[in-house]
Order: sequence, then structure tokens, then C-alpha cells
Amino acid sequence: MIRLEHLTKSFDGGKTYAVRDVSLNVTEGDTLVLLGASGCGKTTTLKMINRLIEPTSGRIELDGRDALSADVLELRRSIGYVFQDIGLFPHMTAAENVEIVPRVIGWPPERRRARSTELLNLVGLDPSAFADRLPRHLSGGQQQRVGIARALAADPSYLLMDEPFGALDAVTRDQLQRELLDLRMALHKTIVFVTHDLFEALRLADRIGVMNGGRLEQIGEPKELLNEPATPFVADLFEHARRQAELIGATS
Amino acid sequence: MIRQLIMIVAALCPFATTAIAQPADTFRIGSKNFTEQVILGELVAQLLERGTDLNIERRFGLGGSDICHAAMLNGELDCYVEYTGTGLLNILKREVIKYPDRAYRAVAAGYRKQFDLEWLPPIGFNNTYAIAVRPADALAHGWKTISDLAADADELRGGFTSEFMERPDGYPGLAEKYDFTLGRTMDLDPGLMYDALANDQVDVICAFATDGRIAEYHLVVLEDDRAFFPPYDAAPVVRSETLAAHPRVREVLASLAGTIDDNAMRQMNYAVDVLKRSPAEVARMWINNRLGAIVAPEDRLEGTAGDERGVIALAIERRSEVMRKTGEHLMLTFLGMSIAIIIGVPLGIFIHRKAAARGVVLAFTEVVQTIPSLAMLAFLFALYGLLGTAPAVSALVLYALLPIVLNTFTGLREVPRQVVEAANGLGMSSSQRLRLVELPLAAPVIIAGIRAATVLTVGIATLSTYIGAGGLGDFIARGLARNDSRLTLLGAVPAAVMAVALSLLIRLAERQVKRG
Repeated sequence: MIRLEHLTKSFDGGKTYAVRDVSLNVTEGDTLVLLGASGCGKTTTLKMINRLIEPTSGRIELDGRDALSADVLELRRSIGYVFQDIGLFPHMTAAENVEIVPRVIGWPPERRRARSTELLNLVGLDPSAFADRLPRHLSGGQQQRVGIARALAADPSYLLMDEPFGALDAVTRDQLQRELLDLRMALHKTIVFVTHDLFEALRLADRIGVMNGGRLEQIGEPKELLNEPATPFVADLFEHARRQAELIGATS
Repeated sequence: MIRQLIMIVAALCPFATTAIAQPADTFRIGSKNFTEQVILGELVAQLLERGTDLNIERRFGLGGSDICHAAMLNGELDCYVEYTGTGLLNILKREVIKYPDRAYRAVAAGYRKQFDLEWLPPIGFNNTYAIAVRPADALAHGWKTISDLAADADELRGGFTSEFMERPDGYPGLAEKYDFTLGRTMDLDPGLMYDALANDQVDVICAFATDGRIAEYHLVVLEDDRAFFPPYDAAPVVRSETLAAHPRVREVLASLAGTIDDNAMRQMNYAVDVLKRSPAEVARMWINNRLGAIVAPEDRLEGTAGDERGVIALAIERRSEVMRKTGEHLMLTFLGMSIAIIIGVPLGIFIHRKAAARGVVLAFTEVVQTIPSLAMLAFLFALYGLLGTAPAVSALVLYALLPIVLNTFTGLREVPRQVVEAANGLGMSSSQRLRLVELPLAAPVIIAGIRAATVLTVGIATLSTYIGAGGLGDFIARGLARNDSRLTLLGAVPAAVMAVALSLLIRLAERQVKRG
């Protein structure tokens, strides 16, 4: 269970707000998608959850514990994080990348190796072919599979995903979205997923939080947002998407 | 500010505290870095080796009177040969005294009182400065005295040693006394001055009266008609403490008193500078012919044939010395680089993390680069009060810092932002991030900096000779001082080979890391 209360971030001492008064809950095992255009504050919100960005004010609770007073390194190690630009360590092999958090928290090498083998299999990369490859010898899709495996390595309860498929081509993105749905079924993680792509949000979300100008416009199940938009912004967003979908329907 | 920073860094070097403990019966003899000084040093050394059972240590080729004197004061040297004029004007900072006896008494009394150093009786010759010109010019212009130069002064080019350019009894005083200034002057190495005059690069030089090359080039020495130059009678200077402990030293060196006149000294210098004999050999011959004026080069020396062999033959003959000097050089380079890496890499990491310190640290390392190497050596020597390895290695460390610090900083700064963010996001502590991510990624750039610093260090280490730290610079300095290019090559070639070899070796390591 993730709980944000009146979370606010200003980078300029209060003149402007990147995130303003955001409150929301994510139930255990659920996937919340934060949806919005670039600059709306969705990534800042995500990064505040593992304190890559420290909030200006507000409160963050993970399973009822105050995240802001927790040890920041332990907090981050207990939360899986998948980065928009993947951020694999270029001098480490795929397996070494996956094993990095277990290594940092002191697992013995055999256990680490067993875990990376398991996870590479899980994300669809045959360890015998991929374990010893450096990131530069992997395709973009393969790299982000390693990125996801790395986030899962220490078996965290939470997974934060910052536009993880944004840099991938449409076909690879579709494939990885499908695999992520399968993973969710298998792993039962609480996920916060950031995207600007409404279709990706509709496909992956249990609930969607729409953000605009640093504020949370509306949060709810996709159906709720579609049928009962709380603000004109949300209504426009879905109306626009509907027209695009109709265009595709009409063409086919 | 800069001076304080230098002191701090220098103090960080572990050598700062290693005062070299010498057994009590060791007697250390120094010399400055020109031929006559080395011959005299050898004479003193060989006489004491024969006449006492002291363990004699030679520290020849030191970079000037100031360094020799400072080394005497702090017990790094027990004895070297000094000239009365130099002692009076440069060390005691007194006025010129024209009469040799009075000058000697004044300098001896001053040294005893101020420094607890004792002047033994003069050796006999007066190595004063001698203003020398080409014979053809002297004939054409009718020059006989220094005053005669005044008429043509505007068109004349002077080639003087850097010491002469600054000494009160050098060019500034000369120009004032004779009331003319030369059209141009250039600072020259003492070893190159004579060639420069012979090759028409300059018109007037400040020769040494006892220099063998005055005869070799048939130079005309102009008369000091206004009696400007003070007497420069040579005499051994010994620490009073040492004399008290080893009274035999005084007896043995007394046998030198009044035995070598200007002409005899000139011939010994000629034997080394022109006939390419070793100073040790010339000193030995003199001792064997004790008191007999050394044989004129035309007769007896010619019979035993001067050393005219090529550089390769010389290298083969002196291979064990070349190997030893190469080893010393390698050791200086290795020590300097090790300490520079131990200081420089953490400093680079520090300024990468603390932007506030960046400007100061980089400015400091850059300023250090602009300090002339000899000035740096002299300064560090004064700071430590020690000759040899400690100040030399400290200088190398200071020069090597810039490339190492700068490349460490640059290498770390070039680690991609998203990789650093990933390391943070996954919960690495800052030391884990440094060890597991940043340093491995910056390694190729850091190693490139170390490579550049190593090449630089091999070069600068050749100057360590001027504060008695040995290495291949010994050959180079001797070659320059005696105008013997074979000796210079004996030092320069192995140094160049060493620089290239070390560079290649480090490049291999660099590739290995990149492949990683």
C-alpha cells in the first residue's frame, strides 16, 4: 500500500510548483498509471516516492511507515525502479546489471547468480545467450528487459516504472506491455507506472491518475474516467483518444 | 597563499620526515655543476680517501652556490670548494673587497661567525670572471680593455650565464662601473657560452679565468681596467663541527694550499672539457704528480690520448653506470607517480563532488605547472633542508598532479547522467556508486591522465640532478657543463626510451580497461 498525502514539490522556493498537493493511494498488488503530458509532474511524483527527489512538503507512507524518515538507501533498495532511459551500467554484463542490488546488499555470489539466471529467464532472455553480454550488444528491447529484471532482483514489494517503454519502437513496446501484464499476474507487485500514452495506460492500469500542471486532475478506474470525467481536461483527453480510435476503426 | 599550498602538499609527502641518518664517519663532499668544481671535488675526495679512513660520499653537480651553501648549513654536505668573491658578495652579501688577502680574511671570519663554517687556506688560483671576445674582433676594433667596448656597446651581443646576469658582481655591476650597456644580452648555459661565441652567436661572454676553453678557442680576455671583478680565490669550506671531529681532514687538505695556480687549473679544465678526460682521472693524475705543475696538454697528456670515442663505445664502456642511473631515474619516476596518484585521484574525486573546491584546486595545480622546474627544486630544497630524493620526488609529485587531478575529474564528470541516476535509484551509497560505477567508467580517462603525467615526470626527473638526486639527468647535466654531447646523449636517450616504453605500457593497460 502506497499512500501520498498533500505531496508538493517546488524547485524554486515556492514561485512555481512541479507537483502541487497530490494525495492518492495505491492498494497492494494494484497498478496505478500516472498519465499526463511532459512537464505535468508525473515523473517528479514518482521520483519522490523513492526520494530521488525530496518533497517540499507532504507525506509518503509505504505500508503505513513514513518513507521520509526512513533510511534513504534501505528505502530505495526495497523499491524496484525502472528508468525511462534504461540506465544500465555500460561496463557490466546483463547478469551483473541484474545482480547489482543483491550485490550491494551483500548476497553471496552463488545466490546472486541463481537469482539473475531466474530473472533473465522470467523476462524472456535466455541466460546462456545473454547473461554475459554487455549492454551495448543488446537491442533496446533487450536492454529494458534487463532493466526490469534488475528492478526485480531483490524481490521488492513495489515497482516504480518511469515511462519504461517510451524509447522503444511500437512493436517492441506492445510486446513488453504484454509481458508486463503476465509478470504482474505472476509476481503480485504494487506498481506505479508513468506514461504519456493513454492507450498504454488503459492497457496496464487498474487505476489511472491524470495529472496536469502539477495537480492530480482525477484518479479512478479507466471506466470511471471515461464515463464520468471530473474535469474538462480529463474529458478532452478521452475525447481526443476516442476520435483517434475511431479513425483507426474507420480505416481498417 | 600559493606558497602555503605548496608547503601543505609538500608536507603531505611521506619523505618530508625521513631525515637521512648517516653514520658518523661519512664525509660528504659537494660541488657545483661545472667542470672545475667537479675536478676540485674529486681532488678533495681522493686526497681524503688516501689520507683518512673516512667514508667519502660525492654529491657533485649541485645547481649553484646557494644550494651548496644551504646544504652545508643543514649538514647535508661537509665540504665543498667555494670562491672568496662568491662567499663575500653572494652569501655574506658584503661589498667587493679588491685585495685577495683581505677578501679571504673577511670571508673566513664572516663564515666562522655567521655559519660555523671554516675556510681552509686558498688552493692558489683566482677564478675570476673574464670578459672574453673573439680574437678577430679584438684585432679589428683594437679592444684591449673592457673600457674599449663602450664605443661599440650598442651593437654588441652579450652571452652570459644566468648567474652572471643577476649577481651584483656580474653584468648589472659591470654595466654600471663601465657606464655602458650592451645592445642585447642572452642567458646561456655555461657549457654553451664558448661555442656561442666561437660560432658568432654572441660577441662578448663572461668566461671563467681558469676555463680551458679560453685557450682552446684562442679567446682574447679583456683587461679589467677599472678593477671591477673581485678576487675569486678558491678554497675548501668545511663544517667546523666536522673539522673538530676529524682533525685529520685539516692536515690532509692543507696539502692543497697554494698548489694550483691559474695556469695549472686551466690545464686541468682543458683536459676535461676539450680532451674529454674524466674529472676523476685528471684529479688522480694531479695527485700522482703532486706539486709538479700538471703537464701541458701538448706533451704528456697527448701521449696518453684523449677520449675521442663515439657515443656507442662510451655507452658500452659505461654500461653499468648507465644501468644504475636508469634504475635511479625509474625509481624517482615510480615514487613520484605513486605519490601523485595517491594524492591526485582522491583530489579529483573530491572536486568532482565538491564544486566549491574545484576552482581553487584546479588553479593551484595549474599554477604549479607554470613554476620553472629549477625554481621549484630550489624552493623545495630550501623547504626540506635536504638534498636528494625527498625534494626531487616532491617536485615530481607537484608537476604530475595537474594531469591526474584534471583527468580524474573529467572522467567522473563524463559518466552519463542516467547511469549515475540509476545507481542512486537502486540504492547505492555514494561510496558504492564510486567504486562500482563511476571509477570503472572513468578509468580509461584517468589512466590517460596518468600516462601523460608519467611522460612528463620522466622528463622533469632529469632535472633532479641539480639537487643531487641522481638519475639520468646526471649525464645530461655533465654533458652540458662540459659541452660533451656524448654524455648528454648517454642520459637523454635512455630517458626518451623510458618515456616511450612507460607510455606504451600504460596504453596497454588503458586498452585492457576499455575492453573491460
